[in-house]
Amino acid sequence: MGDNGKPTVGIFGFTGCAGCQLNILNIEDHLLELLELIDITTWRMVKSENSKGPWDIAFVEGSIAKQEEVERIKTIRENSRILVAIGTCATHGGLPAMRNFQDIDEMKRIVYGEKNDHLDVIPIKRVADYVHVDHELPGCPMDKDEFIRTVKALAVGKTPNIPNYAVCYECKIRENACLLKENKFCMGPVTSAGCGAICPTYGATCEGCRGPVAQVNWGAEYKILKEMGATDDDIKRKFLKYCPVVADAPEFKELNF
Amino acid sequence: MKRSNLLKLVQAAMDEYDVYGPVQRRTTWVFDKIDDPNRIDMDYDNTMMSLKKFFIPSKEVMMRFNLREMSIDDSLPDVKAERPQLLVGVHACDIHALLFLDKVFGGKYVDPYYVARRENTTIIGLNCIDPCKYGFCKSVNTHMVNEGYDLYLTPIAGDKYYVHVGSPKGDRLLTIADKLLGEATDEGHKAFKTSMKHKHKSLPVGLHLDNINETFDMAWDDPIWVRLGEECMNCGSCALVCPTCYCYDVADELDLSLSGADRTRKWSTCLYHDFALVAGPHNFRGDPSARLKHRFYHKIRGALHDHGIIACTGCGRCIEHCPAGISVKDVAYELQKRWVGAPVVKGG
Repeated sequence: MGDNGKPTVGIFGFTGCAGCQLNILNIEDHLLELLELIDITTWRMVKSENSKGPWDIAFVEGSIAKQEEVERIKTIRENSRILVAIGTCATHGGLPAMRNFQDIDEMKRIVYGEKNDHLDVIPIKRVADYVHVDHELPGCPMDKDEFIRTVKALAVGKTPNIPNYAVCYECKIRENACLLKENKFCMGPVTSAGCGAICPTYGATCEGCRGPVAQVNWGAEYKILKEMGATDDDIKRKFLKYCPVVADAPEFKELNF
Repeated sequence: MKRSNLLKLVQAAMDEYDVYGPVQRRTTWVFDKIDDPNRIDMDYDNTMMSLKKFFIPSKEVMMRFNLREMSIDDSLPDVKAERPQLLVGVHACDIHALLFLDKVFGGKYVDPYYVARRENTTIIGLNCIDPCKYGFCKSVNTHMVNEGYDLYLTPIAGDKYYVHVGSPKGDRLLTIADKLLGEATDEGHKAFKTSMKHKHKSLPVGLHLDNINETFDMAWDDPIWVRLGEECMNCGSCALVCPTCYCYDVADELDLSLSGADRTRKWSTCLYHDFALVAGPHNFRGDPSARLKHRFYHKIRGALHDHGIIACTGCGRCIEHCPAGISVKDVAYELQKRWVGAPVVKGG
């Protein structure tokens, strides 16, 4: 707790687009009310003077992509009572981790030329692969309302309630015609809700940005997409796009691409 | 009554009621708020979501409370003060679904929010004289209604409806519709009989449930549950579109002052991992296939035990909207065949 009796909070960015941090800043209607509940002592995106900790709550955005970041996340963890990973990069690897499936030396050469020895590049992983994470707010970007609900829950010592059921829940409630029935490769049944099914509501397929549901049944989704004419490559791309960490799951390996 | 006069009736009723009717949306239909009666599609196949949304909304605040002020603000008076709703074009299966929900929410434990909305609603039913794509109402005896409607329309020759009046609320509607419909003529009675004969010929019977109770008693260890468990993604679509699935979750949503909250209930389904998760943590149905099996058992065996009827109205929504193509009809048929012999299928 800070001098004012409010929990101290640090907000940190790792490898990603910084959109989740920006989304916190976008909570314009309630930002001042939020500041009544918490004391943000560290947030480099917003503040020029930042504390070096410790913090009651650390919100961490981005994936871990460099050795230097491994050390940094460990330091933050050691200095935080509660650590919350925000956004899909932090919770599941996210879009940056596409590079895990490419030839990294060739990519370095293409982008930075022959002199690239100075680059500190390791396979991308999520925050939970390196340190203990107390709560995860997935989504690309992280949902503003979910962030507010989480702050409120943590402020009163409750466990934040993050949906682990399918996007189909929110999609059906909005009475959207099912995109799978229109032969579109939708990830709704295997993807966690919380987004309000925003993509299917506007006719775009779910891309799986909030990560797999609890006890995900990829085998069944694989079969459905396959019957609709998707190739193994299409399906792999869908499953791994936002959640490269899925590639290491035994259930995923069983799919035999 | 002339079909075109129904639109006039709806137009006139809009002064008094919030009117909802079937409207096409992409590949399906929804019961939508009607501002222009011409949007109503009385030839609709089936809507994605059933009528339960009008009585148990997918999310509703039941009360607000504030600990600083020690105040409670129940939302029931607001629910009671809502404008009356008129539901137009309700199929027989959906009327049966409401009669089932009446047993659940208006029986031993009365849910005042449900009852208030139910009392505040008038229903114009629509007799299906042709089958819909996925329904199997005649297999579960929900293709005709004895009660649960205020007006009931049977399409007859000459672009007309033969109208049954089912309640004082229906009578009330007729006063609005004063000059829009007349007493049935001999020709009308004859046309009604023709329509009904056509109906009983055209609705298929693909399944008989005579032994379903004992079938389910025996089928607990049936290998079908393992197979279905592999196909099912526990997405919950079946339960969400089901007109009789009524489970909900209650949670307090804190406001930013941390001193007050909205006590909110929202739909939930037994297909979800956290549904039977309790402290410990212990999950009574931790295995995904156990959750799918539980839903089938509750719909059929459990509802029979609790209410004397199965909680399946044969509307076919769960079949139509299951991404994995699982069919309650095929499951019931397969189990009956395996455990009590092939059901006798009477001619349509």
